[in-house]
This record gives sequence, C-alpha cells and structure tokens, in this order.
Amino acid sequence: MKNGSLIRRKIGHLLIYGVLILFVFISIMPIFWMWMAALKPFDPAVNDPFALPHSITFEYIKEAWTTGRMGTYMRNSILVAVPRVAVVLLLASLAGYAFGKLKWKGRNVFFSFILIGMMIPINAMIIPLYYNIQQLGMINTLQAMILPYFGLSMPFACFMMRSFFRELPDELMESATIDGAGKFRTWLHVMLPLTKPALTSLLIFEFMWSWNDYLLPMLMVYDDQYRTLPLGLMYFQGEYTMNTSLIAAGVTICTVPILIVYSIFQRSFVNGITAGAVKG
Amino acid sequence: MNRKKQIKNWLGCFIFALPALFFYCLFLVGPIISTVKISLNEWNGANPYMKWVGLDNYIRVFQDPIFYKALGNNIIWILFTIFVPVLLGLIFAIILSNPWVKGKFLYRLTYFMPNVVSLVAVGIVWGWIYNPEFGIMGKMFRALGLDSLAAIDYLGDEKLVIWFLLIAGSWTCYGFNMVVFLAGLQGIDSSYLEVARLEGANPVQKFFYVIVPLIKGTIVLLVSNSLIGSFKVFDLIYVMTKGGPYHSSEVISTYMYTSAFTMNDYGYGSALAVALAVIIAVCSGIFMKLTDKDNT
Repeated sequence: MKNGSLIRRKIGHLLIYGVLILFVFISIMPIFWMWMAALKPFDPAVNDPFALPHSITFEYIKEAWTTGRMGTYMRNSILVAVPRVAVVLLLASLAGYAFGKLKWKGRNVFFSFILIGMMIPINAMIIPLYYNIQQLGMINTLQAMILPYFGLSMPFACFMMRSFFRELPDELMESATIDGAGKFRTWLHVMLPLTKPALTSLLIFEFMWSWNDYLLPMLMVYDDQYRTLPLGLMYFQGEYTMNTSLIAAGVTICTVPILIVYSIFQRSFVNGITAGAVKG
Repeated sequence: MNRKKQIKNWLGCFIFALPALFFYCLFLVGPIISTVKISLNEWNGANPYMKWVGLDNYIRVFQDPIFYKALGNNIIWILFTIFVPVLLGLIFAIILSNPWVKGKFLYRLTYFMPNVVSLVAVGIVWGWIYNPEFGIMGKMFRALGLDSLAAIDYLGDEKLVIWFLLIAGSWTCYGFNMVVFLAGLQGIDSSYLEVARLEGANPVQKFFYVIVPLIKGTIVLLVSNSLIGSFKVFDLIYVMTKGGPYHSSEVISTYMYTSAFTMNDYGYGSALAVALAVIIAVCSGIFMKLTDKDNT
C-alpha cells in the first residue's frame, strides 16, 4: 500500500518535470529557431527556416550588419538608451527621495498626481507629442526618441524609487542632519549609495524598454539614418521579405544583446519586478 | 520669521521633486489635455486651423461598428490573458515553490525570457510559426494528422486571427506572472500549508482554501495588470497584422493609430484615444472597488 502510493507520487513528479521541461522548450525554441536560421546556409529548394542546419555561416549576420544597416540601427539604439536611462534614473532618484523620505506638506498629493500617469496608455498622448516634437524641429533626430521619456517614464520610475526610499530607516536622515549635512548632501552621500539595488533594477527596466521601444520611434523617425533596432527590423522585414536568412540575422542582432543583459542581471530583473509589484 | 523658514524648508524639499514633475507635466499631462482639445475638432494634421465640431467625433465613435469590434477584441484579450497567462503563471509558481522541484533557476530564467525580447522580433518569429508556406504550426498539425487545422491561414482568417495573436501575446507574459506569483508565495507562512497537510487537504483543496486566499493581493495585482495591459496592447498586433484582415484583429489602440496617422483624421483618432483612457480608468476603478469590498 505504502509502496504503491510512493510509486504514484514518483510518476506524478515525473509528469510535472515533463511539463516543466516542455515549457522550457516552448519559451526558448521560437527565438532559438531564428538564431539557427540566421546561421545556416540558405537553401532555396527547401526554404524552411525551421530545418536543422548542416553547416554554420556568419555571412548573413555580416550582410545584415553592413548592407542591411543593422550596425547603424544598433548604434542608434545605444545612443538613445544611454542618455534616456541616465536622466530618468537621476530624475526618479531625486523625486523618490522627496516623496519617500523628506517630510513636506502635499507630497502625497503630488505623488498621486504622478501615479495617475501609470494608467494612461501612451496612445493618449502621441498625437500632440508628435506635433510638439515637430514644432521643435526634432522629427528625425535621436532626441525625439529620448526627451518625451523624461516625462513618460516618471510614473513607474518614481513609484519604484519612492517605495525603496521609504524602506530606508529615518535614523539615517536624522544622523546626517545632526552631522550638519544639508538635504542635497544627505541624498548624494548617504541615501544614493544605499539605493543601488533599486537603481540597478530601474536601470535594467528602462534599458529594456528603451531597447524594445517601437510606437514612439515609429512616429518620430522615418529617416533610415536615425532608426533604432526595432524600427530597422520592421523596415528590414518589408525590404527583404523573401530572404528569410537575412531577416533571421536581423532578429538575431536585435535579440542577442538584450538576452545577454537579461542573463547577467537576471537577479535584478526579478528583484525589480517583485519590489515594484509586491511592496507597492 | 518662523513662517519664512517654513516656506524655505518646504521649497527645499519640493525642489527635489520639481524636475520630475516638470517633465511629467510637459510630456504627459500637457499632451493629454491637448488630445482632449484635438478630439473636439476636425483636423487633418496639415491645416494650421482646426474646425471646432464639439462632441461630433465622440458621437461618431459610438456609432462606429469598427470601434465596437476593436473594443470586443480588447475584452477578449483581457479575458484570455487573465485565464491563460495569469493562471498558467500561478500554476507554475505553485509547482516551483515545492521543495522537491530541482532546477528552479533554469525554469525561472527561461520562462521569463520571452518577456525581454522586442515585440517586433516576437511578431516576426510568430509570423513565421504561423506562415502558411513553411510555418511550424501547420507542420505540427499535419504530423498529428489534423489536416483541416493545418490548412488554416492562421493570420489571414477573420474569425480566428485574434486567437492566434493571443497565443503569441500569452507566450510573452506568462513568465512575468509566474515570477510575481513566486514572490507572493514566498511571503506565505509555511505553517499554514503544514496545517493543511496535517488536516489531510488534497492539492485542489489546498489551492482554493489555503493558497488563493493568502496571495489574494498578488492575484488582484496581476489581474489588474492584465486588465490595463490588455487595453494598452499595440506593438504585437500592429507588427503582425496591423489590425487586419478587414479590421478583424483591430484593438482600440491600433484603430486609433490608423485613424490618426494613416487616415489623417486626427480629431477622430484623439476621440478614440480619450475613449480608451476613460475606459481604462473606469474599468480599473470598478475592479479596485470590487476587490476592496471583498477584502474588508
């Protein structure tokens, strides 16, 4: 009797492992196929990007990078992401300090005012944003894809930084004040070093959103010279519809960097999500 | 004197929030107000003068069958993402929180992976999977002997297209739900589960009577996240079908984009955008009210 239930449990465990491993494949295979299709010689007789490769070639990656201008797109993606992430982090850590640690009248009102933005879809702002950027003469510039996010990213970024600042003990503020440090110096020397985990998570999220951003760049930029990776990829797909190997190479160039970042900073990703989600 | 010092102190605090507030108003609040303004006008985008039409655009929205089609698709998207990726995430999180499961790191790493990839790349990948010529989906059905399913043009069929888009959409987000549920489950005091085990509760009872009530907060959070996220969905649909064929996979955000930037009907596009924002606000308001009442 006892033995039978043990065997039944073992079979149950095996089944569960089967399902878990099946979903590992479901999760990684689609992207993995793309990488494979990019690395194997194209055979027009078969035209099956899902077929297993017999040999490996980097020719398509090279062609996508140079002729397909994926190199330019990647440079633009980096040039957009770096200033965007840096400024959003700065603004949010200042505001998070004000909303989470400093005591002043009206801070909750202002904070709720910012939080409302979290519910509003970007589609509700894009028409006027497009015309504002046009009036500033910034259509077809990299700035057009950076500047709006100083505002658009604030709800989530402030929310996350505030919940982290709130966790820091008040005694830190008090002792810093007794030591004669002003609010700014307390922020810079005492608080900021302690918020490193939150800043890391926010950095990774902002970077990911910037790297994958599609709607706003699609509106702001139509000159090939300023396209970022997702835009370039979309354009690329239209241009080389029949050349599956080249499209796969484009997808590979776009996905590999972000997946490397993700694999390295996996912990921060997860911590950021759970901090943002559960503490809130 | 004291009053002056107080004001100075207040300003000293406020100044830290000021830059964020400034950009927030400039790029988020300002444009929303402008959207409302544009929605009350007829405007083709090029003309320097807008023509005031009052609520005409909103009346058009409510008489437009494509708007209702899009709204319906948004609602399908909400229901499906609550029942498939959220539930799937919860089930996997419960499985992974069992102490005997090995290789947790691997599952967490891989399940979340689709979430970090650009939706343009996701769209291209799934477009290939569904491709009628060489897609793996057709091949799979053919191998299983289901020729009638293999013959479907997955993204070209007006009735079915939204469901195939939903499969691709769910693929990107079930890992996210799992990670959040895992964190919620970690917060559970294990003695509750121990008591349930001693009382002889079976896994199903344990799930409904112990686990679900304890992580209700997380469930509410993820359901409302799906609710808001489903109204915001844009990239994936735009990349894969642009709302077609014949508006059959249109959602409000894609319809809004096409109305404004393809048809140059900016007033109407703005009215759709405002309608979308209001619908989200009302839905999340109702949802929060309902769950609040439950909690007390």
